[in-house]
Amino acid sequence: MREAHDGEVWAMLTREAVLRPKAGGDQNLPVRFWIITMMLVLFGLSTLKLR
Amino acid sequence: MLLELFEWLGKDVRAFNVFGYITLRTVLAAMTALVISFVIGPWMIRRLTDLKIGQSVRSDGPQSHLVKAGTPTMGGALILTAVAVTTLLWADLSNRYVWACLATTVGFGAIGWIDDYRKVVHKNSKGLSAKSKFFWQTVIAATALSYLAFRANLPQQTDLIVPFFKTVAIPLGAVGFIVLGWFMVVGFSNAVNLTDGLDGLAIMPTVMVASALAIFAYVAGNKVFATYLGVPHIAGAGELAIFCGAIAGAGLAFLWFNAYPAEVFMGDVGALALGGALGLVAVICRQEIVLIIMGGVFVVETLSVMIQVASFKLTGKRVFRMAPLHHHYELKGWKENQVVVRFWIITMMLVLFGLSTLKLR
Repeated sequence: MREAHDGEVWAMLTREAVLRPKAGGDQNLPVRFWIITMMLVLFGLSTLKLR
Repeated sequence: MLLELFEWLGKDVRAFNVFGYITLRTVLAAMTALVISFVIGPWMIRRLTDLKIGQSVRSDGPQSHLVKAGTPTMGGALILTAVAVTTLLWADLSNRYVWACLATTVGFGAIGWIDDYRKVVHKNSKGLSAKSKFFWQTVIAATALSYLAFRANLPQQTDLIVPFFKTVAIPLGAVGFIVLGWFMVVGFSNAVNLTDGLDGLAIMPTVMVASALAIFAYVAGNKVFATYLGVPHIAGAGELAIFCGAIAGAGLAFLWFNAYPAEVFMGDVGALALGGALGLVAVICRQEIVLIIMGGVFVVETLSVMIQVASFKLTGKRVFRMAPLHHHYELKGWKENQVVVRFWIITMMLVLFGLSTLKLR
């Protein structure tokens, strides 16, 4: 939960902010490969029934 | 929806009868939700960005989180859209449990939507007040649970089942069922919301727990398996496996966009809805205690907040460097990715342990 509190920062920083990697960049490649693997596993499991 | 079509087609072409199997429809539901989310996701993120529906960040949180300000939020609407459409497509729409879960999920999502909308679009830092949020969660949960309690016609549909003990079933009655169910549904809704503080932290455990609940729902709905494994047979609960499969599929696709560094956050609209959904499925399948085990990460995150607040109010001292627990580990020096993946691993272990209760009786 990213709760809004009094005195919070409403700065609308762009996604090119120096401290944070660009969203959707190489850093989430491992996670995306895991997701692809899980999709393939689901498809493989479906072959148990689709015969 | 498609089930009726395939049943009609199956009268002439026997191959279509295969779609009557819950297991196949669960896998297809997961894939459908995945595809819907992948197709809609980029468009939705662009729309949220264009509408400047950006996340605000606590100034008293970890300083490294300040750069997350402006990342589109309310991405949970993507998950809910995929889950709702998929469930309506693949589930048996004459099943009351499916409608109870859908209605509760969408209702909690609406609460979260209003909260997010006020915070982000109206720039009202308070959003929906905690009391209002709690009140509406209670109304929706109590309505669904009352409907289920008064439609129950067998004791096993309301008794509290204790894991590992085949013959222990604590009779709750309708009132006890509603009270415990309220605790689970509202509790888990807020627990997932508290856990949603790092990129991907809440959604992957949700996917894992939903996948496990799909197995529990399938077993509970199958008289042969339920009798063999000694779990309560809840006729019709098997269709909830499709609902859970949709959550798992939509969640995986959302993680594509939500993994560090996130392009979108789920917001309260996603967190409240998904937590409520998990709680209600567990209540219907009579696996409340197992959900507390499998969803241990959510439980511990909530307890960390409660302990921190209680300790500070009573003694003036903090137990953790920061609550919820994931911030504590960040301030200890763990990188955000490390916290997230390590919590995923813990959840996987707890889910496996929870699944073992099916056999260890």
